[in-house]
Amino acid sequence: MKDLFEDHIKNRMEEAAPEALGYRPDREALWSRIAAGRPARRPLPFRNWVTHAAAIAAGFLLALVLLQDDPQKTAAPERAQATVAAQGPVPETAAPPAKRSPAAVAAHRKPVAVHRPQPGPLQRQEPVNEAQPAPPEPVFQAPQDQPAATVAAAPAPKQLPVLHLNELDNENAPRQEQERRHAGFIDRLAIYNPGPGHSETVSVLVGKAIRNKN
Amino acid sequence: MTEVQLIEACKRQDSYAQRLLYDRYIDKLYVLCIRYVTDKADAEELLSNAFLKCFRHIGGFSYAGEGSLRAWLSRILVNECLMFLRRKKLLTIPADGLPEMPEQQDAETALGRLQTREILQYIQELPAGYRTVFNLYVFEDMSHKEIAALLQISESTSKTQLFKARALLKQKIQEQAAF
Repeated sequence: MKDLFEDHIKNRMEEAAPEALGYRPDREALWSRIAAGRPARRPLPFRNWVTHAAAIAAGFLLALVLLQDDPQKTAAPERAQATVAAQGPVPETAAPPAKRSPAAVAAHRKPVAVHRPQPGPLQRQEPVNEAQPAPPEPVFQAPQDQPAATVAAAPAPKQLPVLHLNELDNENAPRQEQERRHAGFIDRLAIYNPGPGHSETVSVLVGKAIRNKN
Repeated sequence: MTEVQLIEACKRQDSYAQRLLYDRYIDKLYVLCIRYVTDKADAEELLSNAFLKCFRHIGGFSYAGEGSLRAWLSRILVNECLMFLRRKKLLTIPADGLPEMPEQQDAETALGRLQTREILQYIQELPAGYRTVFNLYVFEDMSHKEIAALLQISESTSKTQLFKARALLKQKIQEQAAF
């Protein structure tokens, strides 16, 4: 515990300036010595600057591409025109079906089987020819005395469409939507081919080339 | 500029703020330094080292009210002084018992008749071990436990050193006052 003597010394010493104690410090010289050794404020390093600039430029370009690649505005009208022109007259079988009962709708619904592909060379599925008319739907007469659920489970499908897992890019996004979006980007490089009654885009030309090759 | 603004500017390595901080605290730190280290050149070197350390590490300082910056600066400088004394092998503190010394009753009244520079002179004339413990206890408000941990001595040794320093100082002051 400090006594009065020590408190008195402390108060006298803490109030004193160096000059009062017989010292004459050269404050400017001392500051010059400190200023020479102190850490200077550094600008942003060149490497960081370049990295930041590259990131900003990449972001800007990406935003530019995404803003221009709007499938709703660019791709849809051109694609619609091209497909309608390529298909020609609509067959009579493609007429809108008449109203069906819920039992008939359930019977018409085809189950989709998902198969894991066997190890070996990958084989691509044959593209479905859209121009070919669909086979006539089998007319199923539900018996009057049976419940609808039993009737819906009864018919066995003739041939199930196979969907391979390796063709699933994103299970949340429909495949057609993806294709349409990609086609929208390519269609901007459209080649105008003034044929008899229809124009063709790059995606249509590439699709035809693949079909002809197969 | 308030103390908080000064600290924030120093954290940004603002040279104007650093100079302002230097001007504000140089005198008090100078007086602190010459209580531990008697030589002027050594004291100035230790001061410059302490300020450099302060400017480098002020980013880690957190403001805790008025006076906290001064306390932080003082602690940096005291550490510098103790390291200097250790390097010079001046900080040898023998662990001996309390000596038989007569009590000085009227030292307080004699102290009032002395100039401050004479008081400093008597403190500087103390042996380095006594002086260091006296400075830490009286001026830095450290307990004997803290002093013992800092100087790596026992608490009883710290008490003995302080008792001897106090007795020697009172004796000198009374002699001077009587003369």
